[in-house]
Amino acid sequence: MIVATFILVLIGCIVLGIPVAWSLIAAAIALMLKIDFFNAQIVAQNMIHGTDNFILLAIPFFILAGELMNRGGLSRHIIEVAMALFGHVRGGLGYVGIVAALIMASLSGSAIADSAALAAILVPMMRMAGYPEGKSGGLLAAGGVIAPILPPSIALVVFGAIANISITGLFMASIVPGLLMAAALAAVWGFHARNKQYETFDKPDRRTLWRIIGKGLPALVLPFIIIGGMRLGIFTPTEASVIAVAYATIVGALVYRELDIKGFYGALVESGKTAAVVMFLVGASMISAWLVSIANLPAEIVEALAPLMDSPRLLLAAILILTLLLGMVLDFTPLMLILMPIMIPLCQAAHIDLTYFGVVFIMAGALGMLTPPVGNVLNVVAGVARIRIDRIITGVMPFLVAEIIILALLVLFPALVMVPFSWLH
Amino acid sequence: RDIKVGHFGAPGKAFDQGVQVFIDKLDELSNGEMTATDYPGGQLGNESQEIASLRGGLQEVFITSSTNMIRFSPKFQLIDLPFLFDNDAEADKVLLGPIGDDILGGLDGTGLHGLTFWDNGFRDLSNSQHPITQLSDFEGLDFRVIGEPIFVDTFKALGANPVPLPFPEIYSALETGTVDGQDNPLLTVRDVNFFEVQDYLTDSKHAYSAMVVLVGQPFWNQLSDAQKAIVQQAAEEAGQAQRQIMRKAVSGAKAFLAGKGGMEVDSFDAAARKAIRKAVQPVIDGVINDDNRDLYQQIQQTLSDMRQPS
Amino acid sequence: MFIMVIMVFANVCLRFFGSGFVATEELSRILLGGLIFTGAVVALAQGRHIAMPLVIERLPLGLRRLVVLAGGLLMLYCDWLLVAGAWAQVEINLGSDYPLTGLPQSIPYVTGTIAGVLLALVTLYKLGRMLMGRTAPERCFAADDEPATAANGDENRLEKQARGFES
Ligand code: NA
Ligand code: NA
Repeated sequence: MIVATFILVLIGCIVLGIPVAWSLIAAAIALMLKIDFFNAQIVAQNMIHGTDNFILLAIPFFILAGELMNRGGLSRHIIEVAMALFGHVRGGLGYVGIVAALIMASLSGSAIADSAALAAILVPMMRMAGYPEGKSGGLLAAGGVIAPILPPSIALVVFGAIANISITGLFMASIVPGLLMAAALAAVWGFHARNKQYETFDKPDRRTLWRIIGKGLPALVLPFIIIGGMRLGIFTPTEASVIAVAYATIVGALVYRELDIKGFYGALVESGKTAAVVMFLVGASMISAWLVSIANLPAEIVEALAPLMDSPRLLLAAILILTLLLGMVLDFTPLMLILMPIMIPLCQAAHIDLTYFGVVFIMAGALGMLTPPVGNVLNVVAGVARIRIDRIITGVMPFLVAEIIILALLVLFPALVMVPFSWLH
Repeated sequence: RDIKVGHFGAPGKAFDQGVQVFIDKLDELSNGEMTATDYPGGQLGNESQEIASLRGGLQEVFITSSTNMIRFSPKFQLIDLPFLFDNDAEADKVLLGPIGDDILGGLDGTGLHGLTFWDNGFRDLSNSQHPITQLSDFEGLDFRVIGEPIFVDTFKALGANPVPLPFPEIYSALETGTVDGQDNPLLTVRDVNFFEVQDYLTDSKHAYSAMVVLVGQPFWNQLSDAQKAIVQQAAEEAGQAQRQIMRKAVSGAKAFLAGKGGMEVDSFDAAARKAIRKAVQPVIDGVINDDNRDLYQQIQQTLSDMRQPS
Repeated sequence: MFIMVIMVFANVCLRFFGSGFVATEELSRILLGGLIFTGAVVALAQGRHIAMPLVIERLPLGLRRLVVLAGGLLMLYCDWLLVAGAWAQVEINLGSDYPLTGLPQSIPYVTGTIAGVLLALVTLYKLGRMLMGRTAPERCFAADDEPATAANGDENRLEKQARGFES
């Protein structure tokens, strides 16, 4: 079968240490041989045109905003506010991580950047306070993947563009699911920490508390500016990413005074490289996306799923399970890029609301960043916090299960997405 | 080999049904020797990629807006002139005759070969502010336009503020009020749900939206003369059927938008239309030059023959 | 690349303030293409592409070299396909211009061709260094040539290496 060929070659190459982008090209070469349509132009053209899309211009800015937040001290101030509020509770650093993850998720679209910042600052503190590092890292990783669900999110932007539905609408619909994920993490963490003797931090007195909140305020208002601005129609999501960059620069340079010219230049270069790596990967995944279209795979899948077309909920469950499984072996971006064009027409045909589908589908894809062997958020947390990867993998499991349960709840009760969506919209 | 037919129509919608007719005709006329597959909704890539695929021999057929051919041959600009055609019959008469062939011939040597024109309906106006029934109503409105100079200039001449935006951004731009209005064929207004965020529709017919059926030169060169004739005939016959499908769908869409869609539908009266035509005349004058004046006069001649039957 | 980031940024700013961006959109897309390919080459040289060396790290040295060499050859073949395909489009697009800026339409393909050549050269250089024993095989494409000196450097490397598009 065509998909099997593709996935086997892809995984084989990745395991042999070939960079993922080249592994994708190699898998595409296998596809070309398999469908007997070999042409070098397929490779070149899809890599070049796959990224020649106006909407994708937002990607460098989302990455840049995250980079500037970390360099300009915004991320650190957010974590300090969360510390002041929850540091004294039993197992409090865990809640600090969850709250900080939520705030950062509503500022940046990058699970990688968020979990890197969280892990770099919080894991050393958690370690000192006697928290097991696997659990701690796992929690922060699971908190980090809220980023592509809460607005702003590139994945939602791309989904909206492909499905031709309102991106602002998608953003508004994804707020409650993002909050539910955080609530699930808090519940699991509370259960874990209920009778542990973890060291707690002193509760700051009221004056210190207000001082810390005051200092963090400029960082904390950004989510409201971004979400409010889009909600009120002041700017489009693409413009929001630019606003985020400008705001993070101004606050980092003038308020916190942690961002100087050199830091800004460094952020530009770093995010330029990161964006290039990412978009090169997007381009590489476009080759196989094109070949998959040519091989008429979408039609094959529609045919295979035809018996489910009459039961939208079953169909949805099948799609999400497939997404979760493929999420084990594919990186988030290629996964989304390969599946979106196949799944959107399918859901349209089955009369599944596309805004609702976009939210649950991207959530399923984001959870793939927590599943080995290809789980980038796990790798980042492991790397930044110097935790062994297998410890993180075990540590993240309860949180991953909790988030999958939330996903299942959203499938069983679509009202969880749609009712708050209709209030916000 | 299998002929890949790419286009941007949504799967199963009116435009796609026309493509299905084309595929069936190819099969029928070639006695099953030529098989084709439909790739709707831009499955084979965006505009520039499908063009590149055609020229590079990766893809065989691509059906796209004639506006996109302007960069290959300036002759295609004439089709987009504001208020050129008054109705479907006029557009068909010009585009399906020798003038249309002349325009398609402008693609020679570009790696593309134009088979025939298909129909995408007239572009009409919609906006969220107030009914547009006369020239002064355009004043101060932000309109999303295609990023081609002729559309930008037309809306400037009408007194509106043209804002070029890529197609996928239109809905959210309308929704958030970044722009007040847009112009697209009625089918698009319905199928892309613009009616949810727009209240006023004007049956303006201010520009005709022609589609062109393209084949790549590498593919075309491989065909025998007999095969070329089959492909040509299939495209033309499917074009006839496609026009009927589209036009039936357009009247359905209009009824829907005025009814369930909840839009107020207006039109220009004769005096308003005259004033508006006058306002955009400089745009037309700006496009006509020594290279295309002859062709433009032929179009006008054909149209006036039709309008005043002897 | 720095300039390109600025340009793209300036474009979106311009867009926000509603001034003429028709041509700048085209320009910024061309520049974005340049940014991607330049960045991809730099990232390969610096070992910043996303990769997973976890499995090959466990192999014995000789086998590790062999596996990385085979992988490198496969990468070279991929680069070659990029060069060949992009060059074919350069030839097709000679003489066509972008509608708004009037720049030659072959620019993205020329960029792609050059990038493919450079990627291949970097790959060859890296393979050469590995065969001479100057680089550990598993670090060949996945990480910096110099072993991270400070813990800090190591963190950065891993973070950068793992940074996907995720968003
Ligand atoms: Na986010
Ligand atoms: Na995974």
